[in-house]
Amino acid sequence: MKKDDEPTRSNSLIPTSGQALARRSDALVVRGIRDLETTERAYAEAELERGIECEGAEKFADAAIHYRNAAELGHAWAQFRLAEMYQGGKGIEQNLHEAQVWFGRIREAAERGESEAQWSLGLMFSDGLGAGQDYAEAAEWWRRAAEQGDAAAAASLAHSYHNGRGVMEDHDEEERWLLEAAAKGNPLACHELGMMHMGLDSTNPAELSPELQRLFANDAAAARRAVCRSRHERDLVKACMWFKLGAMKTGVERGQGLCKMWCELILPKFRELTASQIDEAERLAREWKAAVDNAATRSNATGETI
Amino acid sequence: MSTKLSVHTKPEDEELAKKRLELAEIESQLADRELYVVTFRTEVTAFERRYLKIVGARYAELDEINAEIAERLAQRRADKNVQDSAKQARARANESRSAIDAHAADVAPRSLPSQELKSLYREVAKRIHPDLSSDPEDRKKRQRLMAEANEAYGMGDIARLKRILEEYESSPEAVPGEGVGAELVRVIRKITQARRRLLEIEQEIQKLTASDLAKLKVKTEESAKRGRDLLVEMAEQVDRQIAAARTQVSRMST
Repeated sequence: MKKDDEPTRSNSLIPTSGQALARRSDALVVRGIRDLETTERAYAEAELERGIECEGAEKFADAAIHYRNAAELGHAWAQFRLAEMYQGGKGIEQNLHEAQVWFGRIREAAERGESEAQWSLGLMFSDGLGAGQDYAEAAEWWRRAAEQGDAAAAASLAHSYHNGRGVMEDHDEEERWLLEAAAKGNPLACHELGMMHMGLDSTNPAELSPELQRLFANDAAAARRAVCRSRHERDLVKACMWFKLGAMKTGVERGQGLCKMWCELILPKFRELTASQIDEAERLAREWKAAVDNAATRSNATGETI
Repeated sequence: MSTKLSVHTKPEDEELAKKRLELAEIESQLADRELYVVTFRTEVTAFERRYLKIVGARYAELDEINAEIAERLAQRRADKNVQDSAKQARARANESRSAIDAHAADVAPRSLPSQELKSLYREVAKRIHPDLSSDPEDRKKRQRLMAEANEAYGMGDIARLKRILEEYESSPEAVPGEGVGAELVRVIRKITQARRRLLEIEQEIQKLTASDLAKLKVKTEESAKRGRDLLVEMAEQVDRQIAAARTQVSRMST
């Protein structure tokens, strides 16, 4: 049998027995690789979280160690934060070479098409870290990542549309990308969407509730942000729903703290928001969250069959 | 026809000399690349064996336990879904087991190719490579020998490689043909065949490099530099899954 097959090959260098066997063990190899990726990803996320905690507690040397652990496993945001620390010499000895190495890794991965790295590369361009500041380039990388379904990138791109940085200012596009990000539970996008429904009018600061007046008197930047985000009629249930959804997200992501602040400190002071409305918002947020989790499981499941 | 000794400067003579030189270079290049690809293949196979022994065998064990769980559930419930998933779990367990058993039965080299083995193989490739022959009969014979040489290399069998080399040298096809024109045609054909094979080798190398196994091998080697044993870590991860499945089994029996 084998002999008859031989001449049909352009060159009959018969595969070694190991090669023939390799096909039977493929499934076992693929499984191992997938399980390894899952374990490593979970470890990298946990290390990033520890790093952020340490950085918050100003234990910079420890933060760098945790960031590095995650960065070495290819976690692009950890790579970015580590490079940023080296670049600025924040709490650790400045090391421009080391910063360049990690920024370089982000760029390579972004060019390979990895969406998380594309988002980080966008941050490099918008912050002018490891790359010359270039908002158009930043928006372009965020768009690439967002189109691949990266929620953080969608939120960042929305921000570009909000203030017309690197793209033409366009609030419809802004909201479209925010919804895209919020559909994946991105807390920053949830926060912005919540703000959009607060119905704050810049031309009439007197209309602000006394609670907000007090808050904004201490934080002019927050006031400006709140006011210029508003583009819908005030709908506190909707706003509350978005803030609650953003606060539900587990793991570390930007915007979580802001959402928690609105839920716990600001909204309860609004007399016009009743307890039953808050319950309604909570119910809506849970429904939305269930849909988000479902979508995530589904995409994991389809990933498995490929 | 006899070769005219007096006309050394004839253009076909010059051309033949040039082509022979080219062929000699390609012969050497081809032997190098064949050695490279066969070594690559052998290393990946050796890694695969290690992987299956350390990690794969544990997956087979896990699948066995999961099949048992599914079958016990199926005994209790006639539900079609439950019955189907029991069948699927059993099929998967059998598949994993047979993949592991096939490798366990594989008589394979225990160590990576030695320098002696490498240079011997290179010698064989240079002398016996089927693409360095223009005669169809001879080519067939060389193909058989070369396949045998690949196998011998994979097994680390030095004695067998030596025998292959000796066997071929005594073969009458190794005697060169006669006539400048005919010889020129033969040399050109050999060059073309060898070039085609070189291209094939590069494609195989690319394919191997892109394979899951080779990527995992590279990753394992890089982790080892940082003091991590990736395969052991993977095994531990499956062990945790096994422990969880065992707990489930013991809960079912009580």
